Amino acid sequence: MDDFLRNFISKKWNVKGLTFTFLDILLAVCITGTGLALRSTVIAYTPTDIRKIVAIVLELALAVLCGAIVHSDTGSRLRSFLTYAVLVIYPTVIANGSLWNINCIYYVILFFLGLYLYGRGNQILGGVSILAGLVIAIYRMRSWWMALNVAYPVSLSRGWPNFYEIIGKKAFVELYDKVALLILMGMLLTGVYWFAEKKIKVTKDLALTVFLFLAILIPYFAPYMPAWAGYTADVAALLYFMKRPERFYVPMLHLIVSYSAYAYAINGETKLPMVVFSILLLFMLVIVGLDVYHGGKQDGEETVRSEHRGGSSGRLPEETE
Amino acid sequence: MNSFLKKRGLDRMDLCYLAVMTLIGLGIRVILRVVITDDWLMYWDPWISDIKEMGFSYLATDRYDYTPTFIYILWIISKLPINPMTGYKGLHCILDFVAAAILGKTIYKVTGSKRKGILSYGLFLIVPTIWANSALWAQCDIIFMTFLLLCFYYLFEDRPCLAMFFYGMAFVFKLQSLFIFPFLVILWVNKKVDLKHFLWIPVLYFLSIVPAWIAGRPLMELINIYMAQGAQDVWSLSIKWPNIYQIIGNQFFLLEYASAGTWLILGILMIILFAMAQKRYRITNEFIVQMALFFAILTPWFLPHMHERYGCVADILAIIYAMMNVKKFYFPLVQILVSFNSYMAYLSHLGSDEPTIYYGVWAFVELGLLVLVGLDIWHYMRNPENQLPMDPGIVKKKEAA
Repeated sequence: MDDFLRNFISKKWNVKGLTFTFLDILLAVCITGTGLALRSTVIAYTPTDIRKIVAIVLELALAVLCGAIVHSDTGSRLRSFLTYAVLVIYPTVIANGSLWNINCIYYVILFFLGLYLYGRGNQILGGVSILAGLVIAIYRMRSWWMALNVAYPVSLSRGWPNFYEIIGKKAFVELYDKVALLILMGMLLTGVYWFAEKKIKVTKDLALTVFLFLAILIPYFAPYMPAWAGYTADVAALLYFMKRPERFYVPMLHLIVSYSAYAYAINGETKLPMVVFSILLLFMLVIVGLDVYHGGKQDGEETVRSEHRGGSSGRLPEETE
Repeated sequence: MNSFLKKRGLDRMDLCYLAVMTLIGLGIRVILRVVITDDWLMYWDPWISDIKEMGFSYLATDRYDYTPTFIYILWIISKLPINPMTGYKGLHCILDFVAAAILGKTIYKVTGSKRKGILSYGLFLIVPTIWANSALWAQCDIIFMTFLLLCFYYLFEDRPCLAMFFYGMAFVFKLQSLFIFPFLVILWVNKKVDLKHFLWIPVLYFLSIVPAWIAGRPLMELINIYMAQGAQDVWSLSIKWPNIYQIIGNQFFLLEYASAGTWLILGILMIILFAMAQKRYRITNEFIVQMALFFAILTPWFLPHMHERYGCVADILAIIYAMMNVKKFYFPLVQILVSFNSYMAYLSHLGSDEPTIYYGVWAFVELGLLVLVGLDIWHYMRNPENQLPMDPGIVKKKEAA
């Protein structure tokens, strides 16, 4: 009987090309149940409406989508399942939807859909999806600023521990909000110029690193960022860890920063000063920035080498082969 | 158009990047031009008003404690048919762009990379301490920094006479140019600069005060203008610059530590110069920047009465250092963060809140940078490949001794 059960739980099933074991199904069912149970404990904090219910469904869909991205990036079934499992019980995801009813998922899922489509070679549709997500994100954040104008009449940060937490968020608010956007534009343009000059092709490998970098960079310098501005980076950091286990501390630290921002916004206090979290974010920004630099440099060199070999511009060796 | 670009080794993408970054830089400065700071209200505005009223004879008075060269610039601004603050900030903002172009050219020269040169131009324009200095605070540090950049450019071109001319010009505008003076002594020891080139410093200074002397201000007063400047703002050992006094306490032994701190840094500089002059070294461009950056951080770390803006030389040198050696990318990142935090400490916290991170923490961060760049110099000097044989004459003298 024991052997039967042992064999049963690890026996591989194949349904229409999809291979799975009983353990996989068990984990999927149990973790989904745990995720729902987790949500049920905090769901009463804010009114539960149709938007919240749809958001919870979308959160599960995001977990599946991210599992698919990890599978497509790493080819590992285990990592893919783990991604799904972790995301279903991810604290900031649950707090954002079920607890706080902010429901960032409506636009965040579009970002990750874009990333997935980009990875599958459908760059136009991927770009459109990310763009649509951006439009919704800007609209949502703007509405939030307006709503919080009473609580934070003069502050460059609306809860996210970013750069302004270090230099002071209450000075020159109505000037720095515009200056910050120009600086951000300058930084992004510099990045684009660097990529274009070095003829770096944003491969599937590099795309996730760049995605995470931007997800940390933009809320770090953009003004009036709400406490939930790190949602996208939270999820992206997890995918990054699945791809690069040596960067285990990035999702760990980002989640702590992000949840502390939630705690500060909801409870009005955290045990550590918010500036500590700003420094942590800066540290992560540098680490991921270095990964972009090294990844880009490598890709750039590969591109140049392939050009020298007579390959067409911008194509990587594996594609040429 | 194409031939114009080709002649300069540029393509359309470079031009596009340069144009957009220029517009972004301009946009930032246009937004900030409206800020009126205490320095404007207490110094530049009344000075310009007095110049308008008194004309050339203003130079004879002791109402200004900056060098006369700066007053000549204010005199020009007073003659412009525009709002004095717009004229003042506008001039310094133009210099921001000039300095960015010089930096870009310098980086291109030392790295041979067109991309790095162009990126330096673009990034310089969005560096917070640069736009905050000229467009927000209405300060004039960009003048002497532009001359310092020219000094470095010509040092890299191996034209020491011209380099020292521009160093002299920087000195004519600001005493802070002396922070990096010791590195010029090391260059002299290593035959990169001659003694006669140093003459530019007193000559240019003397020439710059002649008009004010003719106007009627006593010569000794003009010569001692920097001394008089140093005697002001003595109410704290550190005026919000994160240095040693932010660690040991900046409100005690005000008189005693003011003198002691000056002697201490002089002693430290002597010891360092003594140690560095023991051998001859291969002087590379990177070594020049390393040394200059080291002294630009070291001197204000020990000197008393340092202001919030006194990290500006180190800010620029840190950018050059990182562009020459990408592994040192964190130098400008940290240095500019420290520096900008000090700016904001003055601009936003004066008389109200304390900064989020206490100055003492930033002082330790600055010390960390000092140690790191010091170690870079140490490793460079320890490497036998970088050591040159001594002059036979000196060796003989040493042996005889």
